[in-house]
Amino acid sequence: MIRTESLTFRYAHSHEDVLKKISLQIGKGEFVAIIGASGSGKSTLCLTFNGIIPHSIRGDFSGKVVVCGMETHLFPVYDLSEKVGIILQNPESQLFAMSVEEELAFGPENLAVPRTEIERRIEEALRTVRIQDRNAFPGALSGGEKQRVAIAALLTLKPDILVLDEPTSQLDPHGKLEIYSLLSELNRQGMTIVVVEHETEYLAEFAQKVALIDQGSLVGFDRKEKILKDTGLLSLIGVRIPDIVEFTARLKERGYLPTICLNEAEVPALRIEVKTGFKRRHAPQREEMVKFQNVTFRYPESEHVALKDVTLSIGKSERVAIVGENGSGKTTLVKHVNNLLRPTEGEVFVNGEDIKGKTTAQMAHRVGFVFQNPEHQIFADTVFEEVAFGLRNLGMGEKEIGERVESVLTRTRLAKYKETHPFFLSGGEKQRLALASVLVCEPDILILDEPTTGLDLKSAREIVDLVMKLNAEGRTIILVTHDMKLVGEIAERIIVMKEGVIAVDGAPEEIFSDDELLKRCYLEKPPITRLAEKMGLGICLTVKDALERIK
Amino acid sequence: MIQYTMFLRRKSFFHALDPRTKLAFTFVMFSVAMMYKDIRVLLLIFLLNVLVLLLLCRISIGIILKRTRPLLPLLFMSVALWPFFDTTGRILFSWRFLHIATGGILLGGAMAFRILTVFLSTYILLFTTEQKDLVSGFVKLGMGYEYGLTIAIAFRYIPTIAGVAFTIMDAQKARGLELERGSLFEKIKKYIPILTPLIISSIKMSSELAIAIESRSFGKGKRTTLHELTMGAKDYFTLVLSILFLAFFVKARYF
Repeated sequence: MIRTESLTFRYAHSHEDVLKKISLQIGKGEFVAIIGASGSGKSTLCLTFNGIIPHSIRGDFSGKVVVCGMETHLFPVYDLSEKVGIILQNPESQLFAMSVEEELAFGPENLAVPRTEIERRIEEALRTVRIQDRNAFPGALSGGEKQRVAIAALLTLKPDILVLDEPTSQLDPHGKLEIYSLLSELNRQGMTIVVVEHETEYLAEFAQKVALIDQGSLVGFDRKEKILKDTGLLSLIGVRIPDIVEFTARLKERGYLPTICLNEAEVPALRIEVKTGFKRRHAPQREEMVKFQNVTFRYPESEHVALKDVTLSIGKSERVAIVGENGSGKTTLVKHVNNLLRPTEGEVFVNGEDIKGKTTAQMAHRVGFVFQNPEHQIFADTVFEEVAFGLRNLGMGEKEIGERVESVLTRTRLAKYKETHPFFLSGGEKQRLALASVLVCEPDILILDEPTTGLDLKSAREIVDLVMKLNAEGRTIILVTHDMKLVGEIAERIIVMKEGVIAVDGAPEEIFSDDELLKRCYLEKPPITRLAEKMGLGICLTVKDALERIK
Repeated sequence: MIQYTMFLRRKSFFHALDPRTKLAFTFVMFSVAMMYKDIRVLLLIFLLNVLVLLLLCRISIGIILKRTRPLLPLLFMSVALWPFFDTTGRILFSWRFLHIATGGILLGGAMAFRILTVFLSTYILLFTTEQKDLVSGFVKLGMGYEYGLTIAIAFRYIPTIAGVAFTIMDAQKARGLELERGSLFEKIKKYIPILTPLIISSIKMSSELAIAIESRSFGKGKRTTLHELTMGAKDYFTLVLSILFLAFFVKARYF
């Protein structure tokens, strides 16, 4: 279906090849995953499959890509798009019509398909992706629905191959699962699927083959069992090892298991001695840092109550994760801590003081808020100026600004980029820059909204380490996330939101032992948690937790 | 998400019309309103538009009032200022060099009705026509499809870009940016940290959008459309009536 022969590509105005002599062959009906660290060339590879590279994005292209017998550099994109459909990360930028129906009609209309046939294809595609309202405005759908509509809009072109570049990176766990179930269903019907994915957990379950890319070169392409179990190779390249693989690899080292396993089902019944009396360190009594007193919030001109009578207390240097499905009120809740939103009813106290009369800017030196996408706040010409912004807003003198910025840049390991334009930083570095530019105001409370989304293993690791260090210095951490692994690594307390109220508030052990509650709040139990429970290790959210409990 | 459209979903005579017919209707109302200065004619056309909105578009009087309220300052100015400039007719009141006469009062009223008619006839079009139909109407009337698509995409992304702008404002406020304080010049300067990321995000989004559009076979050449616009009996009826209406008023005014 897809064959590349020593495919090499260099973007115009770049000095380095992004793809280096890649030769691979993808067969009909295969489900192939492409993995690799950030910047390894995965997305670029995807764009060569339907001819966007070299036709629309220019550069030095050599070697060839053959799709369904067509050499891509010889055919225009509109002809190739009948064979290969491509989905990008951000659903928002792929849905440009005013209604679902129009979105789905766009492709076949361009191919001058007769009207009755277009209608038939729309019907079929909508049924496949399970979207009912064809008049809906695509911009108003949930993330998972948007991505399903984007897929349906390709299905109406009747392609043989779907290529998806991190299709679920911006979705909640519920949406992710929706997309992967849909993809495996399409795959069962004979569609060839190629997907770039950070979260190897999903690949362990859904993919058949895995291509491993490192700095533009193909370093491995084989059945997923082969690649995903090669823990040495994966960690060398900086790709996340699926939890179960990592866990069973460590058990194998200790002689408990003969082989590494890919999923729960493969793990045989084991006799493992469990440390008894294992208890997580108990949180000491702390002074109160944030307090919500009967807070209710309604967005202006909306009937919908986003927060309903929330009362809450967070102690100094606590690490709290706020979880729950999209629209449950997580972000609305944390935006009240620095007055980005003000309660319709009730009061919010920070460090014992009612913050009612304060502006968000006045809260900046007490509450740091790192938004999900660092690109939504970076504006300055140099890293130094970007970080200095917060202090300039506080009206601080140049000398002190200089000192404080230097110190923050050292702590976030960005000192060497001081005079660099932020544009040239990698994703992980941008995220650290966003963190630095908030930290420079020395806030006591740090709110992080999905701080590791889209980051590769190494960058994510650095963020987690930094957050833990900041916490050890006495800062309160409030984390908003869907990523249960991240919750396990950082949080000592979880607040689960559901429909604007706190559904439950407790230690991770309590929450993840209540199956009924998890289901009600659309929370997914991570595979490692399920396995550890089965093995009698109790509730563990990370591989580290699970290993600690084995004697 | 807020959608920036004025379209109101109803089942009405006007909703069912072809967008081209509605464009013609609005054009006729517009033209007649512009031709006349006579308050009687303008009042008549204004009332006609209100009746069309109420009966043929099924738009409630509440919505009409709500949408015309922003025009009040303009209407007030028209009624209050014209009398100072037009002093024809019977003088009602004089003070030094100021004369208020019947002609000016009538003209002020006429201009107020003209403003109202121009807006109401546009509302008739926008309340009853979806943006996509409006764009296909323009394309049918000879505008290139590429331009039509561009306009449609611009409408589509207003709420998206607005959402990004709000997020950016929140992020910068959280870093101590006070948007409300300072002189006008300072305020303008304060929007740099908001506009820069907004422009960069928009450019990034548009380059992804270009890839998405191209990946869906755009540019192959001749295309079909799922919903062909077709003129029905109702359309021809409305069209003929509109043209007669225009002809009558043109004749009455100029011949």
